[in-house]
Order: sequence, then structure tokens, then C-alpha cells
Amino acid sequence: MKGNAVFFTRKRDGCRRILHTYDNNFSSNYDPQIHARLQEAEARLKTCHEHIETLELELNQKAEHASKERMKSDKLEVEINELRDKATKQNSKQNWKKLRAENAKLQEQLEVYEINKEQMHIRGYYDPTKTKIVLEEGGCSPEDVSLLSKLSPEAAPSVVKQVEDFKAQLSSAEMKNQRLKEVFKKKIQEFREACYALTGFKIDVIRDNQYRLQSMYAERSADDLLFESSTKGEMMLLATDFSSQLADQIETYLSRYNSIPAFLSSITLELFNRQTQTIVIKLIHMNSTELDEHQLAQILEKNQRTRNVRKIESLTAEQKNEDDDEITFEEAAIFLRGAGIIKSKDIRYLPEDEREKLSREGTNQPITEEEQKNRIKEMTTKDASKHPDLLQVI
Amino acid sequence: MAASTKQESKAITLKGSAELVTEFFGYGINNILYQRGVYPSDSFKREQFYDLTLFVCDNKELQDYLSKVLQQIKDWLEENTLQRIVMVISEVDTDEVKERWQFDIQKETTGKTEDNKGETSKPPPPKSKKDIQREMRDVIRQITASVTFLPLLDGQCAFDLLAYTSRDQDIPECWEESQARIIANSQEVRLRSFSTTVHKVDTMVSYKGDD
Amino acid sequence: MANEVEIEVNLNESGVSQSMNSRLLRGCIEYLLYQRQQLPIPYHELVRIVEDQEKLCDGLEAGLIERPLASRRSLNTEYKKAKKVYEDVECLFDHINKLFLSTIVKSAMVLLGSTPVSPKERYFVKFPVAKEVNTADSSARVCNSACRKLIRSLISNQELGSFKDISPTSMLVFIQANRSSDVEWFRPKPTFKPPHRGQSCKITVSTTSCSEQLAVSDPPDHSMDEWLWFQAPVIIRGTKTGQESVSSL
Repeated sequence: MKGNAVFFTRKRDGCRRILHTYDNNFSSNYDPQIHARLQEAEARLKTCHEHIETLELELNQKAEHASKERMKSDKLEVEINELRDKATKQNSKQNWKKLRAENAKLQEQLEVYEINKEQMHIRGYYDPTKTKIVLEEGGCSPEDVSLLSKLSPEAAPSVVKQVEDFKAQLSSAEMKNQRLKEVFKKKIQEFREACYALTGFKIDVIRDNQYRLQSMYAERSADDLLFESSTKGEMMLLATDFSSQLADQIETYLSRYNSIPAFLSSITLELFNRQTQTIVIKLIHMNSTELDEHQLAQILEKNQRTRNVRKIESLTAEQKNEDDDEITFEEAAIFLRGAGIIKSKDIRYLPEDEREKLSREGTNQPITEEEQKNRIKEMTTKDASKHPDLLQVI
Repeated sequence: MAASTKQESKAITLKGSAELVTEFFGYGINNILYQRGVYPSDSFKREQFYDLTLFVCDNKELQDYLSKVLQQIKDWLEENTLQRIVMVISEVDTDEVKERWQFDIQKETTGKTEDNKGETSKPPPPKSKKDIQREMRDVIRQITASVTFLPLLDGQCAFDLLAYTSRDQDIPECWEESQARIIANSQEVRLRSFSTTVHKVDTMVSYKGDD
Repeated sequence: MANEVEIEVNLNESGVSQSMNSRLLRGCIEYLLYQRQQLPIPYHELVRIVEDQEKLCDGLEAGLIERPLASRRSLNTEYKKAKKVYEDVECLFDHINKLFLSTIVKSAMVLLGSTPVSPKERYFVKFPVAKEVNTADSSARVCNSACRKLIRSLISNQELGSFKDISPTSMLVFIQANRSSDVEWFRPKPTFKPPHRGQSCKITVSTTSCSEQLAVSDPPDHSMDEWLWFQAPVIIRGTKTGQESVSSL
């Protein structure tokens, strides 16, 4: 703007100068044309003046404005500085607070550390650069404090001796015990055998106060009688398959007379008789063709319980055997004849079908006494008078 | 004991102090063995000491071991190289450490030592042997009473004595270096201390918590 | 009053029961008997000795065990003393058990010294408040655990540990219960005021559940009249066993 003002001022001065020249040059010779030009120039000059004035005014205004702005900016600057100051102050305060908090935290940590240090200390931690831990190699353990080693050394030998003595006593007692056991066992066996021989019954104890009786003459090994002694010592017969076949004897001897010995005796007699017959029947049933006298003798020996066979003097050993070796009917007959037990004329040969029927019945199911008697009568003797023993049975 | 008895009216010597402290360890260890049932109670005899009835095990093997270790402890106390004695009780079957009885030993700065000329150090406040033993008795009482809060040791236990010595301490042939055998997650109780004016002994126990 | 040692024990147990409080008081008494030099051996050891001796005597009477007469005689005086303590303490414990089962006990006081007016030492135990008498009994495990915590706090308290030595004297036990409650055996002492002499220790037992309510339920002064002190009619006399007799005990 200033530049403009100077420019116009110069222009104005230049115009003036030109006017003067014109005045000087042309005053004398006045020329209307020049005059017009002069007036025009003066008007232009006036315009220029006016323009300059406007510009100057403008300039002043601008300057004023500028100073105002500067003042404003100064003020702002002050303000900024103030604010900056404030800001830094605030910052440091915050920092300070933060630091203080941190400090407190560290303090706390330190305390914890101190406590930990104390705790670590009590727990046994140490500084390995300054300290080492040692212990005596041998050590000592209460494990050794067993009952024996707890005793003083002086007492120990006597204790050891005592222990040995006790051991010796124990083993001798054990031996004695063992020997006694053996003796008892033997005696018991003897006793049992004697009972068996004398009464004809094998008696076993099944469990406490239960006894199993098996007759010497039992037809099957499963035929047994069970007795139980009550707390009062009374013997009771328990039901078995076998006892269920003895309703008569039970009724007679146990129910009516309450005598077990009589009951048992009746069974013995019954079985004894039955066996005598059975042997004969068995002999008759035999159907094998391969059997010599010696084999027959063996069979008879095994079955010597029959009265018939007892007559053969060589066959006396006391044996019970259920095995039924087979011989032919003919051979049996020959043997019996040879042994003088049965004469050939006493033997009646059964027809084939009847024999089969008998054989089936004899092996499978018990034959009632009555049937048996009848059959044996049929098949055996016609002239019984010469063989009273045999006839007695039949 | 005779040496320190003579000194009773005067300040205690390093040697006398070592003797008293060793004696304390002897009774303390026996007492712990009894209270914690490490050895069967019928293997202990009652002894009257410090005005207390104390239990001393009459197992010969144990006493041989203890007298050997205590002699060594006494030597180290006299050399002022012993920092700590720890009695570790561990279960035999699992080898797990159940209790650690720790006795920290500090040299009292005011204590008069025999090898020190002692011109600069002040004489310690006089403490009679009786006073010292009374302090020891209080610690023993606390150890005994600790049974009330320590968890029951139900398995068969054994014990070891650890000595914390200076790193550069020469150790006799029959000793070897050991682990610290620290109990993980233990609970700790600091018991009382006693001072002979030469040695200060702090007692504390850490044990495996039962909950 | 000489400065009082205050010990606060938080048991961290959720429930409070009278049986637990009873166990704590008994634990406290046992602790004091030994730790405050009234007995030369811990109480449980004394029990063991007396019971062993009883068995031995039974054996002797029955002629099962022979024992030289001399050693029997040396037992007599010391053994009698020990047995007296044993009987008194057992009797006291028995009644403490019954008491806690029948009424709420607010606090207890154990005095060491010849008279209740000027004892040498005073231990005031404030129990956590049980809501009712018949709060379900805590299991033995919980009781023992609580007792262990209490004893641990007592033993590891350095101030309590620095109490001056005391020679064997009498132990008096007081309990504070409601005036209206039905207290047997213990004698009401309406005029009794906790003494202000001697070394004093206040033990406040709290549990997690009652620590907040404690402040609220603490009875204001006007209701203090409701609470009455009762004294146990048994005095436990401390003994210091003589030198030679103990070894044979």
C-alpha cells in the first residue's frame, strides 16, 4: 500500500513538473488546446490525489488493524505462556502424584519382600555364596529302634538265648502235636474199622452233629442214612433217597419202639438177605461167554457176603465191591455146580424172553422182595431138601 | 561346665558361651525328639534341668551320634563360624520333610571374645549363668508347648541335623555338604530368642501345614 | 492398669459353636499352666504320667506287677501333688464342658495369683458370639484346628512372651454368662470386677462370620448388668517339682 502511495506521489510530482514546463513554455503563447490539456491533467491529478487520500486512509486503517492484531497476538502469547506454565505445573504435579504412588507401591513391595525375606529365612533359605550346609555322614535313625535293639547290649544275648529256647520248645511241641495227630488218626481209623466190622455200618461225620451211615451190605454207594443229634443228644433220622424206601422199618422200629439200634439191625439183616439173593441173580443174569473158574472165584470172592459163597472156604476176605464182572449164566452154573453149591438138576433154565426181562429189571430198578423171591424160586431149585442153606434164603 | 561356673559373676567367655549353647542344643534336640514322637516315649528318661522336667533319650546309638555332632557344634561355636543349626524331621517312607526346627546363631557385637583384644568394644551388660539359662528355659518351654499347634506326625519319622557354616569353613571328613531340605508351602512360627551376650540364638519352626 | 497385651485371633472358621469355645478355653488353661510356669511339664504329659501310674497301681494292687517298695515311697509326695492337679483340672474341664453346652459364655478370665483382687497375671478371653446355645456342635477336627490357631497366636506373640517370670501360685477361673442363665457348679460373683493389677492380656477370638457382627452385637453399657461373673469353685495350685522326685515320677 505504501508502495502505491509513493508511486502515486511520484506520478503526481511528475505531472506537476510537466505542467510547470508547459506553463513556462506556453504561458506566453497561450494556446487553448494546451489549456484544455492542462485542465485535463489537473483533473487527472485531482483524481490521483483523491485516490492517494483513499489509499492513505486505507493504509492507516490497515495499520491500525495490524496493531490491534498485534496486541491481540501479544495478549494471546501471554495467555499461551500462562497456559503453558500452568500445563507444565500440572504435568509435574501429576508426575509427582504418580511417583508418589509408585513410591508407595515400591515401599509396599519392599515390605512384602521384607516379610518374604523373614519367611524365607525361617523356611531355611540362605545365601549360598556365604554359607554352606553340612551334616554328619552317619546320621542316626530311629528305624533301628526295633524292639530287640532297644534292649541294652548286656540284655541282648540272654534275649537271643530266650528266643532260641522258645523256638526249640515250639518245634518240639509242634513235633509232639504232629505225632499225637498221627496216633489219633491211626486209632480213629482202627476204631472206625472195628465199628464197621462189628456193626456193619461205616459212620462218617459230615458236619457238626450230623452222621452218615452206610451199611456194609448197601446195594449202591449212594444208599446212606443221615442222623442228626439234637442239642439234647437225641438222634434223629434225616430223609435221604434211601431212607424213603424204608417206610416199614421206620414205622416199626423208630416210630413204635424208638430204637435206632433195632432199626439199623433190621436194615442190616434186610440188606444182608437181599444181597445174598442179588448175587445169585447176578450170576444168573450174566451173559458174557468169556469167563473161567478162576475169574468166577474172584467175583465170588469180591461178593463173598452171600451165604452161599461163604461155603467156599478160600473166599473169606472181607471186601465190598460193587463191580459186577460178567460171566455167562452157563459158566456160573457150572461153577456153582463145581463148588457143590447147586446141583445141575436144581437149576431151571429160563426161557430167553423171561431171562431178558429179568436182566433188565435186575440192572435198572430195584425188584421188590416178593418178586425176587418168586423169581428165584422159579429159576433155582426143584429139590431144595439137599441144600437147606440155599433153600432157606429162597 | 566348670570353666563357666568360675566365670559366673564376670562376663561370660566365648568358650563358656559355646558350652552353654551346646548344652541347650542337646536338651532342645532331645526334647523335640520326645515331643514329636520321633523316638518311642518309653526310650526317654526324665531329667530335671532349667527348673523343668526334660526328656532325654537313653538310646545309646542316638546319644553317641548326638555327642559327636554336639562336640563339633561346640568347636564351631568357639570359632564363631556356625551360622545356623537345623533339625529336619522327615517321614521315613516318603523322605518328605515335615518339620524344620531352625536355630540361628548370631555373634553378639557387644560380646567380649577371647581372641579380640576388646579395648574398643564395651563390656556386655552382665548376665549371670542363671539368667541365661532362664532364657533358654523359656525357649524350651515354647518348643514343648508348640506340640499343641503342630500337626500330628503320623508316619514313622527320622531326623537330621544340618549345620550352616561359612562357605570357606573346613569341615571334618565325616561331614558332607547337604541340601537345605526346605518345606514347600510351609507355615512358620518364630519362637523366642536367648542370648549369652556372646551368642544370640533365635529359634523358629517351619512345618508342613495340614490344611 | 499396666499396659495390656492385646491379641486378636481370627479363626477363619465359618461357624461358631459353644463346643469350640469350650475347647478354646480349655486349650488356653492348659497353655497357661505350662507356659506360665505353673507346671514343670505340659499338662498332657502330666495326664499321661498320672494315668500310667494309675495303671501301674492297679497292677500292683492286683498283684500283677512286682515293684520294690522303695521306689514306690519316693513317688508319693510328688505324685500326690501331680494327681491333685490332674483331678482338679479334669474336674474343671468337665464343668466347663457342661457349662458351655448349657449357656452362652461371653468371656472368661483366668487369673494367676493368690487373690482375685490383686492377681499377678490376668488373661481375659473374649469368645466369638454364638447365636444360640444349641448351635450344631463343631466337629472335633474343627475344634482342634481352632485351638491350634489360638495357641499358635499365643506362642508367637512376642509381647506375651516377655511377661515376667512367675512362681507357682493359684489359678482362678471366671466366666461371664447371662444373669438369667442356668449356671451350675460355678458360683455367681455379683460384686466381682476384673482386677486392674498385674500383667494383663486380652485375647479376642473372632471368626470370619462374626467379625462384622461383633461390633454390632457388642452389648451397650446398659445391658452390661445382664452379664454376671461366675467363679469356678476349684483352684488349681501350681507346683514346681522338686529335683530328685521328678526323675522317678
